[in-house]
Amino acid sequence: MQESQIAVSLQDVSFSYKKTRVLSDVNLDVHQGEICALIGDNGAGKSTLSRIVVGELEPTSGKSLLFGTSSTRFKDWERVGYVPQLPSESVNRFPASVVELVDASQYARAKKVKMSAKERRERTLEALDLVGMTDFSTRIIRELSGGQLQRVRLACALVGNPSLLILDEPTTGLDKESRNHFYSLVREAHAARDLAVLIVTHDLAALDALACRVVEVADHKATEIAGRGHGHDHCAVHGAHCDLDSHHVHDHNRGKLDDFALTESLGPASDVVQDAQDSYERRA
Amino acid sequence: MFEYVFMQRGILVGILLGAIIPLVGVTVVLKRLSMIGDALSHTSLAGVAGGMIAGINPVAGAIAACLGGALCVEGVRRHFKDQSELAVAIVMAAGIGLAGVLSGFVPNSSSFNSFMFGSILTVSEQEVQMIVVISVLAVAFCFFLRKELFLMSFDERHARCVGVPVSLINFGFVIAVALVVAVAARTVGSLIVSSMMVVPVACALQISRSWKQCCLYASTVGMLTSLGGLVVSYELGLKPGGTIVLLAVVTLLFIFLVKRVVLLLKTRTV
Repeated sequence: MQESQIAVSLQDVSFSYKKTRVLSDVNLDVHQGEICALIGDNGAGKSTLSRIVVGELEPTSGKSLLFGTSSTRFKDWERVGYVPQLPSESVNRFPASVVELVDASQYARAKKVKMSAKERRERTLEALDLVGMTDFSTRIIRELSGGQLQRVRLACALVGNPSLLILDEPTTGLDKESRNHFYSLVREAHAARDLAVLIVTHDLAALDALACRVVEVADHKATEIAGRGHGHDHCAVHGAHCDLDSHHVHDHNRGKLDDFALTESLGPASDVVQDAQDSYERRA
Repeated sequence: MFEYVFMQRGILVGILLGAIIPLVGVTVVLKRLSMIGDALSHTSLAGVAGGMIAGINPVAGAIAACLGGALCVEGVRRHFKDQSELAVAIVMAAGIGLAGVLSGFVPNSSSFNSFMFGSILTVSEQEVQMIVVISVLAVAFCFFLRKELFLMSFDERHARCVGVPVSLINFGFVIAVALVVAVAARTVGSLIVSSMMVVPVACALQISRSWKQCCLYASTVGMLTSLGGLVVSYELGLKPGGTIVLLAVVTLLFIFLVKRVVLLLKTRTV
């Protein structure tokens, strides 16, 4: 496998905040065309991991690579799209129009390729069309709902021409309908562009709707609990039909996934979950 | 009144600073660093006092102190990454403390006082030149780096992930603010400059529907209130710095009122 086909590569990454160890010897590769979900409890280190991936934090030891280049020295940001959590109220009140925000997100591309104002505008409208927000282009962002704002941010992430999409808890705070809409848009973009997608999430629905691989961050480690099963290009082949059921979930980790579902109060009525509940009641 | 040279200079300086201070103020307010103007202007007072004691030009002292203060803000901000407002407050505390102590040693205290509330009508030709140069630099900075400033004010992580060199531009921006505050402290006053940085932006935020509009409106409100404030202060014999800021606050209240009335009328017609 050529290195450039691996979008994200963490090699023996350890990270400590002062003396508190957060991650230790984490290894993770996300290949082109693959969707990988990072799950884990609050404070487990998921966000730290995503901040290391985008080069905002430098690992205490080990290597974090984006397309084969160290994340902290990475320059080719046109290849990366990033959607963060629904921002706080103050950002929601920011005086920016939808068009302005998507247009400014072409920053990396504009640095590389000379683009006319017309071309920029066309690309902006195209990206807004992809997420169904063309009618809102002249709106100011404080007039958007949470779901609409996240779709605009997805347009910002897709406008560059990315090969990798990093979604950092993108649907936290959204209602079910908005979440499902968001996931379907990500799925479409993934299928159309053969994107590598790294999603940090709390939402089991995301795993059902998107995730081809599930990696749990716990006890300073990242452990794959539902694997590719069909090779890394499985998702690219299955596209929109790719869901968790079609994956090889490691047997010894099936319980973990269901436990995760239980903690998210979305509990699927699987035997494992039922067993866990029975066992809990017996102990109680 | 326009035939007097001191009024001509005052009006030129008022218009320039009225446009520039809110222009950098937009980014300051939206990055939630509203106290940065306060912190740097108080630090500039320490520089003024230091300059007077050392017998050098107080404006040069103010510039040196503001640059030092700006470096400290960036340094402390990196240290307390999630509490950038605290960083600014710490620098302000140090600046005001130093200004307080040094003011006791200043030989000419009435001249020192003029730096607190400014003396826009007594600027020298040399100071006008300095203000013109720094205004041009600040406008150039805000114009050429408008995309970067916009993205960083919106969300620094997003800005980083589209390739903006966040640390470098943050640093450059704080230096630009420091220079603007240092020259403005002499003319509109150390205690007033931060109000000029915030109030016109608050006005613009009420009526703008994009970042571009916000910058334009903030500068326009700043310019008009500076001009209006100078005229009113001349006619009524008031202190110019204070009058300018009060006029900006009245403008903000007027915008609130008009918005309220428009909303009421809209709900009635619906």
